[in-house]
Amino acid sequence: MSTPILQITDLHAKVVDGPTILNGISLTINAGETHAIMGPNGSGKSTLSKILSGHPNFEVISGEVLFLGQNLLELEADERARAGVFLAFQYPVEIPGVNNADFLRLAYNAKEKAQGREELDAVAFKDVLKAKLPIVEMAEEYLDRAVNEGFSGGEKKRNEILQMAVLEPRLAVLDETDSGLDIDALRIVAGGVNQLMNPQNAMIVVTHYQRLLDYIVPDVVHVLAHGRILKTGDKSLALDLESRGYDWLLEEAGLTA
Amino acid sequence: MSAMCTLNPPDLELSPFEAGIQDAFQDLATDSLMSLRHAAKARFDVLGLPKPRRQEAWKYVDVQGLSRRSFSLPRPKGVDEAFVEWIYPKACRLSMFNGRIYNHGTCGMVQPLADAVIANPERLARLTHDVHQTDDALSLLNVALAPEPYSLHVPAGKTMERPLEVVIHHNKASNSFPAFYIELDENATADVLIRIKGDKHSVGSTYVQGLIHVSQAKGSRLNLTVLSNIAYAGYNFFNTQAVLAEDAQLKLFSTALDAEHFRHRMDVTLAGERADATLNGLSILSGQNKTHMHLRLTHAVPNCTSSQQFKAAIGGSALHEFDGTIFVLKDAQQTDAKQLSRNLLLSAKAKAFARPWLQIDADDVKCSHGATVGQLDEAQLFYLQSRGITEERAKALLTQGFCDSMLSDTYLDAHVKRYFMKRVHCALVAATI
Repeated sequence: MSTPILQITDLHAKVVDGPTILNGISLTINAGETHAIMGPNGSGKSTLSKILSGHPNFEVISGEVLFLGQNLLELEADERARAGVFLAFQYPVEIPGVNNADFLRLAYNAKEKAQGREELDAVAFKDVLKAKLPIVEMAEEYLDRAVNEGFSGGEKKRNEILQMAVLEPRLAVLDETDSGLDIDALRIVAGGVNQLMNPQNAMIVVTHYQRLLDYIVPDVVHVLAHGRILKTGDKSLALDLESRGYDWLLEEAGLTA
Repeated sequence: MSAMCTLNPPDLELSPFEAGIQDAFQDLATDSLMSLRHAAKARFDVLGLPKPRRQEAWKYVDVQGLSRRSFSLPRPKGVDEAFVEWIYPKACRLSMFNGRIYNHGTCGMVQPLADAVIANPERLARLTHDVHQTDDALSLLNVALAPEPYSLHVPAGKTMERPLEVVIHHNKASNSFPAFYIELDENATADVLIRIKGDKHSVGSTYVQGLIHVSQAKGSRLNLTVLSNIAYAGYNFFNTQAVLAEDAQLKLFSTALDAEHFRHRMDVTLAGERADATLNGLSILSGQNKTHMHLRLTHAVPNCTSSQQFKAAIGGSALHEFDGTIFVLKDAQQTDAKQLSRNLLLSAKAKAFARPWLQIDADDVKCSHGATVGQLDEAQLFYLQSRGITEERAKALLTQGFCDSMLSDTYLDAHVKRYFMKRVHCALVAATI
């Protein structure tokens, strides 16, 4: 068996100077797999995504996270990204004054350089970028605007997936990428994500709703509550949650909602 | 006896700067502007030098340092054209080198003010009237003493085919009094770029007291850009005074890069209905730079619009001050005025003072003002890092973005933008060290 893409063992974590959010998470994700993480509000879903990406507002208390066998927790956020971890933000950040194409090229070159490859100049990179645009059905004009500035909710999420397409991560974490999307935008975003999946990479899809999982079909579904994984199953678990809610799971685990 | 002594306190002695002014006043130029010069002298004598302790607008300006230096008028001297690099491929060109002005071309609309008023005595009368109104004493030094003020006069319905480009250059310690009087008649349009630059290696301290006087008739449009990329040591004080008639439009962009002492006081009065003023500014400070953007914007009549946005990126132990007031007079109903000062602190010792004021005497107006002082946005920083960009690079990119977003305004000509972006990059590198 080859090295898993991601292996989390008994992870406990808290907000810096704040409460504990994760109370012992363990999971293993192999190449080619898509894992969905579902759960009620406040269960720790987004915290897990942020911890994987190295967000400075959270701090690991104990446990281990291996990415391709390497200790992920000792890397800074930018090092993780260059190593191949990608977080699609729930709320992509607007950066006035920073050109979208320049930003994408900087990110791309940072990774290329880290992996010992040649950096691309603006002209050569434009070609790379143009080839990626159809994946998220994005018009070229968005490249000349400031990063996410004045973008609609759907455009921001498409821009996230465009970044994913450019960076070709080994592990992509989609943090509630479906929030704020209408049905057409959801179809485009999910379609883009599906095109980017291959047997070498893996994905975590954090979501509230079954709806996204109609488009991005998971191999494994985890239900998170109170910072722990309550149940792990296949895609039918998501359908169960859709019809029955979370309460029955919480009761089964001796917890209250 | 002791009572008599207090009548002659020893501190009445003039500072070297004041003594120099009085000397210069003894010998005012006897040109066609003589009456204007004398009016300015008389007004200056009433106001005296600014008093930082008593006058809020001067509180943070180093007037003491200024008053310790000597004051003298620039001596006539030839101009070395080799020093001038022009931004516009085609322009009406004026240059000022260590305080003396030189006209590089033949532009009918540009001539010495002393010549322009001979055929236009009403203009002289209006300028004299303005002198009586001003409360900014240092600007009066310029009016009284500028050796050769220049005039740009665009007649009714005309558009300047080429922009007016002015370069004010210093390569050694000197005093200079650049003065530009811009008069746009009905529906006239003009583009003016004034660039102040200097040689880093110039020795000693330079004093620049500049004046840009703008008078815009109905429907006229002016783009006025002031780029100060100073580098040399000394004091750079500018006054821009503009009055807009109905439907007139003014776009003013003022920048200060790498200036030891820089103050730009902008007085804009919207005196005719539907007049519109957009005032923007960008300052980048490093080391011990001190930059002051002082604005007085008056809505005197109904239905006018104005917008001010001033940004500063402040490094080292530099100080940036924004002090802006919007006056909405009693009759100025339906005023729409916006004002924003944003300050980015790049180091622990950098300082920013932001004082946005509103004084509203009308009851049906829309006014907003705001000020921010802070460091780089953590969320933006993390977003960039999460894409593989190092913290150092991400900070540089965000700082650059903070400044560049000020330049994306379309009214800046592409030539100017290109030239300016390079300077911004350099200034930022200095500010983030």
